[in-house]
Amino acid sequence: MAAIFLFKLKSNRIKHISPQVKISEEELIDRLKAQDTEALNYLYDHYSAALYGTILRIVRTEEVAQEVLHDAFLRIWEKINQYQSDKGRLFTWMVNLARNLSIDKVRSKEIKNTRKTDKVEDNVGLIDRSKNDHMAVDGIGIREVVAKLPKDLQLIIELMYFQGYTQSEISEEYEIPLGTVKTRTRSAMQALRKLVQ
Amino acid sequence: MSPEEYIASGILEAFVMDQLEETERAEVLQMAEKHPEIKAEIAAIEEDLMAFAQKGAIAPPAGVKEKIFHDIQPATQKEEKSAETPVRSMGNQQKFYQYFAVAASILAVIGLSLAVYFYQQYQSVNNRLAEALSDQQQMAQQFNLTRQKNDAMEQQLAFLSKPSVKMVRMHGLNPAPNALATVFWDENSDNVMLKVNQMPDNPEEKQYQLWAIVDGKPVDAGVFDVNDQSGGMLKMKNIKNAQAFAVTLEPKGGSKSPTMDQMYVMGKVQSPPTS
Repeated sequence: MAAIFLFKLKSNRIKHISPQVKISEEELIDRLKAQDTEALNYLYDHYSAALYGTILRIVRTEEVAQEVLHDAFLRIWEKINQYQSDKGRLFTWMVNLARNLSIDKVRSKEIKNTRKTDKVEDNVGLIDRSKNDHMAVDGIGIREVVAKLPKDLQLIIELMYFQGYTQSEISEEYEIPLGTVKTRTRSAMQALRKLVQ
Repeated sequence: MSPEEYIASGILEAFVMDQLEETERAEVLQMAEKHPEIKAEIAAIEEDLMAFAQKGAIAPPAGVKEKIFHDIQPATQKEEKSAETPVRSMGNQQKFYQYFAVAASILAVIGLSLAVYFYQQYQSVNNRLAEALSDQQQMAQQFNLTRQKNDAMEQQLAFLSKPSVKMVRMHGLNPAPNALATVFWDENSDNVMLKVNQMPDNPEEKQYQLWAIVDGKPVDAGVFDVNDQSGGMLKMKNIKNAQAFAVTLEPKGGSKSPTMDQMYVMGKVQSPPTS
């Protein structure tokens, strides 16, 4: 068994992944766990932009976002053996990892303090005003989509996706029951699913 | 709670977005195992999440990728080792022994070279020591000779300084008109010292003989040679009451009586002026 694994290891190492070839998630995970840098290369090419968008919206500055993206990939590479496919998809694991790093970074910079003074109305307006934000250039698609949501759902998305709030924090700060936060999150995501497709 | 209610609560979205505590997560996973519709809904939510994130994708600058791949290198090597542990650990041991053997061999060679070198050094030093000792011996001998000469000279000087010592100049006669020799005669001890100032070298089969004239009769005072080797003062036989001294050339070993026509030098003993 070990011999077969090792044999697979060796033969895999020689394989270079051409840009056109799609690799199954299973193979990708196997190769990452085997520390095949080609697999990491594939991962970066296909998913770094999605992660970078997530990170940048939370940390706000490109310089910090690049740092966090770098740290995220290093951590993915180092902790890949902790990832278990029966617990969820690879991307889910990666995006949560990136999100958590971003939130940690933001907290260390005390940006959250300024956020706490914002009222509910102001936050909703944020999304509209964001059209003047330099980031609007990139995320016109996302911003427009989110803007189509009902206001109470917009807030959830704004706080969770764009500001890195946890559901518990939203519940506490905006005095919304946690259960309600959860159901609104579901509603928001279902609405987005339709809009994004 | 029915699976539908469970799904409607939004707990699965919270699960996917990592908003749950560990115990809650475990519960969701259990429910997913139990209910395929829950498992399916989780998968759908994950797809939505990925689609949403891809929609909001922003390409990072090129430098980030480079930096990542540069920085993962040490980790790569570390991970490689731990991933291939069953095979590698033996390899590491083998490598260790190989390195150890090589290191030991190198040390042995170095040790041997040093040993050879030091032996050569020892030999060289030993030789020089022998030479030095030999030199020292020669110098000691020379010193002794010099000291002997010095002692002799001191003695002579002491002898000559005595008030009782008379100096008798013996001047050259027919055989050698330019010859000159001097006798120092101590009246107290009867010691006789002879200094050859200038006399021709004697042939090998002959020798000079010193005579003291005592009561008108010649008395043998000893034989001597004059050649390149001779110099300094010669101690002759003791003589009492000499009136004069003379040197004749005799056959080797001397004669009982002087050969008168072979008298080379002669001198009278000066008597102290009577006041």
